[in-house]
Amino acid sequence: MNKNIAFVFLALFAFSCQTEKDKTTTTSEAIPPELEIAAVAEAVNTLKERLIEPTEENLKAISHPDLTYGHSTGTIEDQAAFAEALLSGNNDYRSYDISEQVIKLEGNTAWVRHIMDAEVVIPTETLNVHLNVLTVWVKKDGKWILFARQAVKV
Amino acid sequence: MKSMKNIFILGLILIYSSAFAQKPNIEESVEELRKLMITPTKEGLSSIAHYKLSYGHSLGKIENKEQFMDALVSKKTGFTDIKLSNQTIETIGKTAIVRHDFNANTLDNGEIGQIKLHILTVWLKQKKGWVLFARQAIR
Repeated sequence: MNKNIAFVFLALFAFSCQTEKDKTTTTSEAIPPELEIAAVAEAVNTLKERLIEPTEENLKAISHPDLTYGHSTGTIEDQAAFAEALLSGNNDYRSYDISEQVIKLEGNTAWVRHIMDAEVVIPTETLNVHLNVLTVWVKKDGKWILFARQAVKV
Repeated sequence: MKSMKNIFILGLILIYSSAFAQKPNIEESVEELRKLMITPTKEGLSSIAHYKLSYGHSLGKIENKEQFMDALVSKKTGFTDIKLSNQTIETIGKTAIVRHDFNANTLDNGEIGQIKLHILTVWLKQKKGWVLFARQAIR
């Protein structure tokens, strides 16, 4: 009886070690890093296009519901406010050029930095915006989606 | 019979320690970083920063892990006090986004100053706990 109990506990211990190990294995390790980086770059590009041609569906599809979207002015938007600013025409992107882009990823998380040069029409005027942008992406169900963004003056 | 009992107890201890090994949670890791910025050690900073760290300052300067550590350890950038407020944390799997306001008394190359910033930090959960993956400050 005691032997059996001891055996069960040892088996449980071995199992708990195993699950701990499993948790640290990331799904993207199977995909070569350069392909994964290309996938993130493509997501960044898709987001750029959707900022210019936004719809509620395409913005929600490329961002996480817990999105935190920070502007260089200090304003922070959640996913709904982020979409609303674009869809209402309060931030109407006419162009968005990316330069000096760097992407680093670890497992299912990536950060991307780039310089953004954009023409944005706001209700009172047209702005030529030159900013340093940090975005954070997470891979969910095989797809890279935006989790956080922070712009800062260059 | 006695040795079986010992194995049983050993098994219990092993399960307990493996299942409940205390790793710092995200709040504790943010606090650890705050303390390390006031009292920097190379070991501490190296352990809490991911090797792909991107550390952005409010004025546009971007540091990698080595530059971030060097600025603090060399006292080029120093803090005598840091207060964090209005903190929000969003976690998705092994990724956490922490935002807070950062009010600090600075001592850069021996010169006293004050700084007030909004900070975004990105953390990754690894085997040893949460590590800093990216940071951006804005004024």
